[in-house]
This record gives sequence, structure tokens and C-alpha cells, in this order.
Amino acid sequence: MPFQRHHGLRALLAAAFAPVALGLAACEQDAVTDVTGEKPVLNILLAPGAAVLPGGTSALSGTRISNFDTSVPDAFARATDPLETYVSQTTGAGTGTGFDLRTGVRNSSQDPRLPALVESEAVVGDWFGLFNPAWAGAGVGLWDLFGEIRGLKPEAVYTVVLARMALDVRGDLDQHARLTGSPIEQPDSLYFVGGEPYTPGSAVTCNFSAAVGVNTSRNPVVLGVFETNAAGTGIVDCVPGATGDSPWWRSTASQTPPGAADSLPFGVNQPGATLRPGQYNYVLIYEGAYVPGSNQLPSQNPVVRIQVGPDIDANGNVINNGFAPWPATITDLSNFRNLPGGANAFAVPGTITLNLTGLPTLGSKQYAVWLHNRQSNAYALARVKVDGGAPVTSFDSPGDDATVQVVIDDESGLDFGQYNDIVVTLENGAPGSAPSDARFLYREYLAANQSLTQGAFTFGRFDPANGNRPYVIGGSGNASFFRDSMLVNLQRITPPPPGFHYASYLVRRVGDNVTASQRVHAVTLDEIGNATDRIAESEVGSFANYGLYLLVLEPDGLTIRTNAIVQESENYVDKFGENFFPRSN
Amino acid sequence: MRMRNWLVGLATLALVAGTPALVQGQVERGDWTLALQGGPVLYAEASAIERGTGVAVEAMYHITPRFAIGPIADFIHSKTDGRYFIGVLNFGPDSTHIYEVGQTINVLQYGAAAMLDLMPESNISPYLAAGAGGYTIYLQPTSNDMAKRTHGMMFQAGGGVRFGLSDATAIQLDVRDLIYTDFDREELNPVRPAHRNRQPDGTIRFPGAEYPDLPEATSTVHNFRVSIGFRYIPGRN
Repeated sequence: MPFQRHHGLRALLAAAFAPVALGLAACEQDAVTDVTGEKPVLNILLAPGAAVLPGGTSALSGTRISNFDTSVPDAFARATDPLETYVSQTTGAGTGTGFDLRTGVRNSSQDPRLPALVESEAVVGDWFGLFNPAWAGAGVGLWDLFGEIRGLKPEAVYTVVLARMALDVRGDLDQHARLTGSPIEQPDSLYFVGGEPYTPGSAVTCNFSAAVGVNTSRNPVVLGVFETNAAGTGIVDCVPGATGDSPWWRSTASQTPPGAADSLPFGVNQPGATLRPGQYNYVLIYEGAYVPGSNQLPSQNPVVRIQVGPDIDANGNVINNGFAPWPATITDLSNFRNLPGGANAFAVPGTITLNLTGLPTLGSKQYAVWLHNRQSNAYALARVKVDGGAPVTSFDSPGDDATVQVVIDDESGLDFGQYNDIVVTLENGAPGSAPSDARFLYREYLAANQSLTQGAFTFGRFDPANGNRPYVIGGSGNASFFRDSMLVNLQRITPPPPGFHYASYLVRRVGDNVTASQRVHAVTLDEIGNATDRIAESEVGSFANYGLYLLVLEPDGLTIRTNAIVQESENYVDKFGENFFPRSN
Repeated sequence: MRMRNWLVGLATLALVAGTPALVQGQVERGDWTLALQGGPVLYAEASAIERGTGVAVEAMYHITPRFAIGPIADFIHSKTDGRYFIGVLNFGPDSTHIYEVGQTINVLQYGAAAMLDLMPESNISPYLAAGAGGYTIYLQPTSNDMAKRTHGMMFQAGGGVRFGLSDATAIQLDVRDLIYTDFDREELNPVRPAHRNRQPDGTIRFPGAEYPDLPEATSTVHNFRVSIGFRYIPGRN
């Protein structure tokens, strides 16, 4: 029946579309869900911390000259013409002309050669010279060794001696070492050569009262004695007189000797010359009085040695570069390249003193200092003295809040002239023949133009072959507390230097004191310096126990919280309060 | 709540299925049939679209009593699953809220289909159907700050059973696999890129807010529509 059919149809349609209507209603529910609800994600910012990074300074001292060509006979241009030092001088007895010896007076601290000088502070006074017979006026051939010496013992008697001495060169010539500033490890030795010792038969006082003869057979020759005053100053006024076969020029008619080599009392101070018997190259002053007629010196060791002529070998031939006077100091550092042997020379330090800071205590590892040659990229391990100790090849630091003094000197076993850079490395144990890759601190001391440099060390990667990379704190970060995790996002953080890695810590700081600290993770950056550090609260007990997130540099292989804090968060407990971070204490 | 709604729907379906056949509606060559049907659309999980409700209209021209072709159209109302679209909003510098952002959507499907009646002379007639066309998903302007839609190719295949009510009417139970191609799940994300938890470069701001077990996005998704409908043969009483 149609009615029934239509009635049933409507029912069926209603039944069929009931799910459609119900479904439509269901779809109108809220489509956005707040996951965080009443506990939002709490955000804090990170900023560079007050990092104490490894660093330090270098200071150079005891400058010396390297690569000086000492094969040149007069490499230091110290030879003098025969009468070059024969000049007019003002003395305690007026102005006279003679050989000026003032620049040659040496005491024990100035001349290390043998026989060793008796320790004193003797220095030359206002004048000292060997004045010609014309000025002396005592007679033909009578010269006047006249001068003032200070710093001797007060009211003491000293003996004055003229000597012809040969030099036993032991190792390198000491003058080479002295003039280049190098240490004299094995002093040369002087000894009398030719002639016999001579003392006057009676007591002679050097007060221009009596002459003592010199000739080719007398060596050394005692000229007399003098006595110092209460201040330790003595006046030497001896009268050596050329007698017999002495080659000394003797005229009283002229103030100026002819300059012939064989007529000069001290020989010719030049390469290739010969110091003949009867010519003397040293004036020696001994403490004590000689015994007249004994032909013995008062002592084996003089107090003052004045090199007045060139050093000679056993045959009397002048030793190259052994010219008078004995050099008290290194040659002129501002001019050495202009000297005959200095064309390829350059200055190097004698001692390099490092004051290193920010070095964490390593414990199981060690620091080592290397010198690096820029041209060959070679390294050499330096033996260093740490805080005044004996030389060592490696050391540790008392802490990164301490300063470690490291001295590299002649006991380092290295020639500073062969290297350019100082490199500090981290070593797993005793250093080997090559440094580890952890070359993290470096400083140049000898530049490419061979000038010396000193100053601050650079913390970073030392790798000249591929480019050094100083470490500079960079990047930023933020952190969020979501559910039971702390999520730290680090952006554009500078890669750590070799030998170091990043690690995260949670700490609680009260004033300057850290009262709680928890190492959390090693943090590895991606290629652009980003990293995510997700810390579950279960890892640290409770976030409320701390307050600060720190990103610090740790030495590789170690888990120590250093002061190299490169990122530090806001104090989240202070910021959000104990409602979010309830503390039990 | 939704589960209870669907229990009601299934109970109704069972009631209809249990109703005895009344009158056979024999279709002849050249006849047009109109079908209106509706029911739940079970979207693939990877589509990020929750179960929706659809209404479909089909007009079939019978080339033979057994085989027909004609245009089809579907309208589906649903919403997206906010678990796939995590938004992060900062409230000042100190606090952040995290949201799962879903949105209501409407889907329009259109195209042509062919139908093969397996037992056209029977009062209970199973059939097979297949078609092709397109789909357009209309997103919420209020969620996207603008009118936004996305579309792609659609294929469908399925079948059903038709119960004749009279010469002109029948009801039918139908199941279709609605295959969306060119499907881009991210098109359904209403969260501005700057506020997304999953950043465009792949980084995730709050990994803990993500659901790790959700399926990966695919460009082809299989969705199922289960419907019950009414077929009418115009010109018949």
C-alpha cells in the first residue's frame, strides 16, 4: 500500500541518515588542544658566561743572536788598528796620551774564563791606560801604567802584573758565545806562554816611584803593588820599562809611536797578527803582595783581568775573533746584522717565561710545551721549569684559577733560533716525539721577518698547515622546561678547541660559591654549531636542586667542571620561583 | 560520545539489513537511477584526517540492465587530527604553550563511476563499482587566516548490496575505497611555520610534544567509506 510504503520509506531514510547527522555533530568538537594546560613551558635564556679560558703571556729575556757566522776572522768587527786606542786621556795627573784600557777592566762576574777571577765588584775608575814615555817623563822606554780601580777590598794590597797569555779554547770560543749572548758552558782557559815569571828583587810600589823592566824573557812580569783606601779604591801607577830585547817603542821625543806591530806593548789587535815575546796581552791584578825576588805570583787567581791585546794560541798567533778587550756583554743588538758575520743572523731570546692561566688540573693527563718551526712544521719538546722547579717535559696545573710560570731557557735542550712558535698541548701521558693533536695554546716568539715578539697567548687550534683558529666564545641559547625535561637549544656555538669538548652542568650557586653541581651530558655540536641538550629530571634528581645551566669546556677524556663557562643560563629557580621549582631546603 | 553515536548507526544498519525484501525493482537498458547515500568515512591514519561523515549522490545510466555509468559526487565533513600539527606559542619571553591544532574540514569528491550489477534480476543484488575523479579539501578559513583548499586525483573502488523495495526504489549498503593521490598532509597544517614544533629544517623544538608512533606521511592514502543509501528509478511508481 502506498501510504504504508511511504511511511516505511521515511523511517528507513531517517534510520539511514541518523549516523550522518550524529557524525556531523561529533565533528564540531573543539579541534585545538592545549597540551601544556596550566603548566606552561618555562623559558630561560643563555648567554656567554664569565669564562676563564686557558691563556697567558710570554716574556722574552736574555736576547741573543742566532745563526751568526763566526767563521769570519773578524765577524764582530772588533779588531782595531794598531793605534786606534792610543788616545789622549784625562788622568788624575793631567791629560796624557796612551793606550786607553778603561773598556777592558773585568771582574769575576764579567769574565768567566779560567783561571777564574776572585769574586769582587772591581770596576775601572775615571781613567786607566798605558801612557807613553814622553808624557811619563821618567826616561826612555819608561811607560806609565796609570789608572784607578774601584770596588776592591778596603785597605788591601794588590799586585799588578803584565802577562802574555795563550788561550786554550774549549769548545766554542768564549768570545763567540759572549758576543752572541749564548751561555758559556765550558770556559776557555788562559795560561802564560813564553818567558819566565819575574818579580822585582825588592818591594816596588806602583806609585810612579820605581820602574820594572820588561823584555822577551819575562812573563809574567810583576810591576809592583798598590794599596786601596778605605773605600776600596786603588791607584795603579806602575812604570814598566822596556829593557834589553823588549820590542816596546821607547822614544821620549814623540807622543806618537810609529804603530809598527813589533813596537807596540800589546801587539796588534787584528786577525793574522802575532803577539811576540815581550808583548803582553793581559794586565792582571792579584790580591796580596808579591814576595820580592821569588818570581812567584801572590795567587793563582787574579781579582781583575784586563785584556789589553788579542788572544793568541800557543805559538803567539792571534785567534780569530779573540780581540781585546774581553767583551762584557752581547754585541749591539741594533746593529748586529751589519757586522761581517751577521748578514744572516737574527735575534732570539735567551729565556722565554710563560705565565699561563686558566689551565684546569688534569690529573691523569699532562701539559707539555713544544717549539714549532714554521718552515718545516716540525715540533720539538721543550724541557721547562715550572714554578721554579727542575726541568721537566710535562706538568700539571694546580687549577684554572692559578697562574703557572713556565720558563724555557738554556736547559730546554733547544736552540730557540730554530723555531718560531711556542705551543702548549694536552698529552695523555709522557710526551712522545711529536705533540698530540690537542695543540690548544700558542704564541709566536720569532716572526717571519725574524723579529722577536712577545705577549698574549692564543687559545684555539694551532694548525699552521691548515690554518690556526683562535677560539672565541660565540653563540647563544635558550632552555625550556616541558613536562619532566629541560630542553636546551644551543645555536651557533663556536667549535671547541682541540683537546676540549663541551659538557653541560646544572649548578646551584650561592654568592660565589657553588653549593651543588651535577654534570649532565657531553654536548656535541652539529656542523653549524647547533646542539640540543635534553635533560630528563630523573637524571638530576630534581631541577629545583640547582638553578643554573652551564655549558663548559672540559679537557677531552676528563669530566671536570672547569671555569671555562661559555654559556650560562638565567637562574630559573629565581626567575620562576618555588611554585614551579619547590626546594626542600 | 562519538562511539555511542556510531553504535546507534550500526544498530540501524542491522535493523535495515534484517528487513525482508519487499518488491524487486528491475532496471532496464536506458534507465537512469539516482542514489543518495551516506555514512562514515574512515580516513587513512597517515592522512591526519579523523573519521568523517559523508553524503554521496550517484546518477547512473544503464547501458545494459547489468552495467551502468554516470557522474558521482560526495560531500564529507570531518576534522584533522591535531596530534599531527603541533603548534608552539610563546607568551612573552618566559612561557610557552603547546597546542595540538586540528581543524574542521569539508571534502568534495567528484567524478564518474561505473557499476556492475551482479544479479540484476534478483531482489537482493550485489554490485561492484569503480570510478575516478578528483577531491578538494576545503580548510577552515578561521584556522588558516584565509580561504584555503587542496585537491588531487581520486580513484574509488568498491561494492555493495542492493535491496529492492519497489519497482522504483531500493536501499543499498555500500563500501568504497577512496584513493587520494597527490595527497600532501602538510597542506592540512594550519600552524604558521614559525610556530610549528617541527621546524621547516626538520628540527623539533619540543620533541616530547611529538607523537613518535604516528605514521609517516604518504602521497597516496586509502580511505574507506561505509554507507547506506537510497536508490530511485525516475519514471517508475
